[in-house]
Amino acid sequence: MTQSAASDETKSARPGTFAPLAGLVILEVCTGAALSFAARLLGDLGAEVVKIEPPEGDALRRQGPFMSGAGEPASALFGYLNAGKRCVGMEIADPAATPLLARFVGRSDLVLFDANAEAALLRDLLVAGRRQGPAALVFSPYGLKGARADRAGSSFTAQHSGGYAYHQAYPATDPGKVPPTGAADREADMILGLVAANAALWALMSRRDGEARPVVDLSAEDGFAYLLVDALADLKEGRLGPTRKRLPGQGITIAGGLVWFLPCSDGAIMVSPREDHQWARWVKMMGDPAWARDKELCGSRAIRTTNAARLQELMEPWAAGVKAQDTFRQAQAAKIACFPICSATDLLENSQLLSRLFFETLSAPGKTDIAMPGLPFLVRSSSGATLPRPRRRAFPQLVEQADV
Amino acid sequence: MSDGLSPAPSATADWTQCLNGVRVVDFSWVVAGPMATKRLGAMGAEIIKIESATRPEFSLRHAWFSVVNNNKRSCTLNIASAEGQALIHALVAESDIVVENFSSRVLTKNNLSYDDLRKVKPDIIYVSASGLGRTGPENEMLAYGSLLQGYSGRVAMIGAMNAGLEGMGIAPGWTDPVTSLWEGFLILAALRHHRATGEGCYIDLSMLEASVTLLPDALLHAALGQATAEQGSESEIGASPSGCFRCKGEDAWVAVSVRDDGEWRGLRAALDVPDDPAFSGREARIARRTGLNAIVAAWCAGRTAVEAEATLQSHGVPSAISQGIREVLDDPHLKERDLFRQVGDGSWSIALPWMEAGGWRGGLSAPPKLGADNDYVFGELLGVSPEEQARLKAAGVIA
Repeated sequence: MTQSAASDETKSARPGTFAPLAGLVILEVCTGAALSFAARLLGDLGAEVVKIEPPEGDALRRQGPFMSGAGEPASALFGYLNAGKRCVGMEIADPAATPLLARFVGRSDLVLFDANAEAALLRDLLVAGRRQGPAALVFSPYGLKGARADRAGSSFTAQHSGGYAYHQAYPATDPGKVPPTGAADREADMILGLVAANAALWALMSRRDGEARPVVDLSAEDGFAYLLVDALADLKEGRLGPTRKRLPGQGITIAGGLVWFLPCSDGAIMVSPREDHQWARWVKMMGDPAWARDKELCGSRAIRTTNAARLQELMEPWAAGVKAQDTFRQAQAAKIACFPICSATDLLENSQLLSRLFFETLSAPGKTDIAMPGLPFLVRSSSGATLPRPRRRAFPQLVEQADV
Repeated sequence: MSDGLSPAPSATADWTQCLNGVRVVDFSWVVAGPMATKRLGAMGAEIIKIESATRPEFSLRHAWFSVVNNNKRSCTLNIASAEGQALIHALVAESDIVVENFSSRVLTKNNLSYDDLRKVKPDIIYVSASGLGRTGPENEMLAYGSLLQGYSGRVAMIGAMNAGLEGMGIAPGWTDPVTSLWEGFLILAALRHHRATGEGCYIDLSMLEASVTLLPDALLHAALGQATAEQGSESEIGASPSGCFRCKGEDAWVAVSVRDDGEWRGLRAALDVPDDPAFSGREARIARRTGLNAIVAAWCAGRTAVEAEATLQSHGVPSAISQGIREVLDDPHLKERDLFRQVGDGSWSIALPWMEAGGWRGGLSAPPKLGADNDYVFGELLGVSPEEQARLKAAGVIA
């Protein structure tokens, strides 16, 4: 690699560990889950993360679900998003706190913050100032630039203006009954956190001594519009209808191929026997129904795509008489891509996730430990070093400003 | 370290330099890997996409190909041949990163595993994205991103299940772009580690886990033995009123979300809702979301989406018209932010999902023609003579 070393890259991990962000200091000043998740990821890879919260604590500390046990409520979600951080309570809008905030900024390599009124000082220092010092990442619903920049928004509304919600409910037989639909659970904030984590590393790796700091302008709306790969492809191929109204026979295809959803006697499966050889094995699994011999109905991948809705109807009676788990196992044994629809409880007991030690444990004084999602990868360095991953993570306690 | 506050000499920066000099050998196909390597290319890395004219997933060049394969070079090679594998090994020896999403069988059969390639490049950064991970009892299962959206649980949390798969979170693809973001994050981190230590690494990324880890609310509720209170797809968790509301006009909708007391006061003013202690405090409003949403729905039903959004925004209430891709491409705000650009044949593609505050948003070149860079890769980089290239083409190795 010919790249000259950036100023932060002189810092490194302890020998024998793969902690690629060791030595970096990240300052997080935010009110939502997106940047909290981004900073958590940076911390998981070795960075020291300092999280500034209001004196009464981050609002997410007061949102459930809460860990079981005696004492002050401990939000499991807050614990998940902030494990491993040093949390400091201070009123950043208070002028008396400015010197301490400046000290925190000064010892940081990157500052992540929301573009809200409380963070006006950070915005003045790190965006308007454009001086040397830490890199900055500013998160907002619509960005710092553009006609909508100052509008009120959230990760929910940004999914709608950014197009993702519309296309997640496209096509619809009766669009009046199927509203544009957002992502599940906390996915909206979490994926924005992932985008922020990518942008943060770009900013850290773009810092150069003697040059202006990189300032990332990250908009929630941009993050969702970025996901419109299928919609752009449909538009290019002339397959996008003038409205969300479903066209006759139109199936669900996403980049890669046709997918069917089939309710079973005890749940549901999704299956994609997209290649001819896979389809032949799938037909055999269904007991070689007579309709499957009709070449004009299902004789090729292209024909099956055209007749997707009709094939769905024909497969449903068979699927209703089989069990999802059994069908999933049989199909996979026959090298057909097929999976059951899982619940969260199913996932906690999933043998694949458990075998890879995917779940971590969140622990707090006086509370019952609970499982929480971990990192989705395993890594080892060329010398055999692995990422230090504590299986048991302590609930992050808030430290008063005066104690810092 | 600078204190971050002291005035510094005026300086400008060239943001295109971040990954200059980094070379990526990209075996990935469909969406996840290609989206990740496209972003690396936008940051200055050289991406060499290994393709094959004999494989339809490469030769057909579906429309989505042009959206996820910008910023790359293309070479064509038969990776099943011994000579093809030798060329791959020679290329990897001159590169920094390998990205792949092969099945385990293909990796082993064609001598492309991490253990194979680290022999020729000990410090290679090798990113292996697979449906369920490279270890565990289900690691050999055949998986696609779309199906993992069901296996991960998200499909059960979006809309209502229906045979037409409408509004259920199956399309657009989710697991693939999510996986691409994990890949990009890990590659950048691994590069930093390499620059600090000289070490490469092997990354085993599970697409299933990449999706599951973004569903903490459901998992934490399940771990506590509690039913999940909210799905998050039809309204924002922790906000009320919140939802997507029908307005006057064909398929016109406005999303609204009230997260705190200030936004609640704004909504009350916008809709002329009298103060009611029953709605005091976020928790009280969440408990009464159905009723509050009905009030907003009735108000929206009598207005166009443009009118509703303008009124709500004038009172500081998070709100947005639900737009489709045509409106998104035509949106003045998004145009100003330069997220979408027309490249090559005039088709649209998407730049980096973030921008530098000065306006930089990364490179975005047209996707390569199949094998367009064969001469560069085999001739210039690997020193294969024109005569030998001709022989390799005739033998079906460069193909």
